[in-house]
Amino acid sequence: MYKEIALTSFKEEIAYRVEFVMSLIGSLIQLIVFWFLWNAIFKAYGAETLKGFTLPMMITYISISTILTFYNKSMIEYLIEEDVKTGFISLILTKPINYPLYYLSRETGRIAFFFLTRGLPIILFSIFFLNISGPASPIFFLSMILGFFINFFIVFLTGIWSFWTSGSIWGIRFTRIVVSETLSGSIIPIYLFPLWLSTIANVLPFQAIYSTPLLIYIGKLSGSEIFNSLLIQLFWIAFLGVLTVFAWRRAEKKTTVQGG
Amino acid sequence: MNFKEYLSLWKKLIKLNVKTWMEYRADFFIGIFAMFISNLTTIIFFWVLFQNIVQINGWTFWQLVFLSGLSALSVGIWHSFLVGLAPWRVERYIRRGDFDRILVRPVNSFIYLIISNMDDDGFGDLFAGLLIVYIGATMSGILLTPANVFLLSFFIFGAVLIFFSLTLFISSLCFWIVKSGAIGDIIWSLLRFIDLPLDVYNPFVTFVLTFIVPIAFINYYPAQLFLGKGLYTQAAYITPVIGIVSFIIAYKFWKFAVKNYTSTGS
Repeated sequence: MYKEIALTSFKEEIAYRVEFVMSLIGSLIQLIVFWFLWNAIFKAYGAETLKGFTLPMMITYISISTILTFYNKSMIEYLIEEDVKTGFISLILTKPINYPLYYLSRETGRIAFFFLTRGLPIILFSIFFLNISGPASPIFFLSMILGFFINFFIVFLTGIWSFWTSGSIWGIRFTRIVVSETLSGSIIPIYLFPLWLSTIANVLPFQAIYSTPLLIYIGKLSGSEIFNSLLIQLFWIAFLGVLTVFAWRRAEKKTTVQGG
Repeated sequence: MNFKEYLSLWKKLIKLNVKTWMEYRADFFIGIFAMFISNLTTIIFFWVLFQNIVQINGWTFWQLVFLSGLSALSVGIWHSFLVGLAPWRVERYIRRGDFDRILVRPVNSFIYLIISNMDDDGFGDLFAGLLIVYIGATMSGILLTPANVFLLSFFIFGAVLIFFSLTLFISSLCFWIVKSGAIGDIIWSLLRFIDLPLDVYNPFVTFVLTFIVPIAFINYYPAQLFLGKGLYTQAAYITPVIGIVSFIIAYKFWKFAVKNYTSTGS
């Protein structure tokens, strides 16, 4: 059944063709702006490497990051908010369906669609025009999938906040996006952060979504470092997963007691 | 309706708006705060970069802050007072059939959409814009004398018009393409270009941002004049002209789109 849900979500996405073209153009513009920026920065810096990054490494990093940050655009918070506000949630609870798994399936469908339709053109553009290289290690793909789960749990957790607040979820979602953008290393590698900021970033889960797979992709991490980062990713999945189950039980209880 | 009547209508609508904001006070402040913070992300981004470098194409950190402040301020003014004609709003009006209802009223649809759509989230943009311009200017050594403030307002006026024209042009497309709210996203993508000074780009991009989609006049050319850098500092003075010309073109296109919409009756 969860496969069907993922498939439906995939089909729904096809309906939005204009949005599709626009967001693709948007991603490409952002990538082009960053390409000019990093070229200018390396010219200004004068040296071959900046904190261990060469210009081609940096271009590869931002190209792949443009695709991975599709994670960040998740709409799950809005969908959960709608379920709660319309009372649809009470109906869902009477059905033999696991609510978090339901959204995990939808999110999987969305991301699969995004990667195929928007990720692929961006990859081709980056290969032909920006000369990016392939992943330094196939472990990148594993790390990328682990990052997907971490992101899903975070988004789901911010989303079920709707059960406790009467206001709009908009601000909370927005905060999640901004924090994730700034502290995940998705725009600038954490290596370039000042020490205190990178310390904060490293104890938060956001870097495990983006920074880890990206650094593995460009070959910045050695064998043992890769192993350690994967362990950290697994830790966050376990931690946030347990938190999600726990929080969801509370939300479920609240709805059944108060009737939504 | 004459000007005076529109003015009193506007006042009434503002009062109504304020009441709604106070009703949902938490949303009101969260919205403003969120927009305020979102403006700071560009600054944070530059700040992190400048931990590693001293300048980009001759631009220091504070000069880039001033540059991004100018665009944030223009967008903030637009977002607060002119957002009624944004593509996503116009699309909603058309889709729900509300636009047809406005057309049968004895009001100018263009003015009505503007005055009935003040957006409190825009205030966050506006405050952030003012603050960033002020800090950027002061730290880059620009003296905020009355003359300079006047000149700056003059440029901001042109910049808001340029941005408004761009959005109006895209909104007009809503009458033909139903799902054009999404085209509106292209506006934010284009704005990414002027986060950086034109010096960073190649001649092609520079040409496009100056002559085709003249958004470089929103911040780059005015900033050049105030900072006294670059070859074309005097170009800043034509910012208001570009604003007015773009507005005339965009407004004509809007009129054409509305006329086309009413005659086909769709």
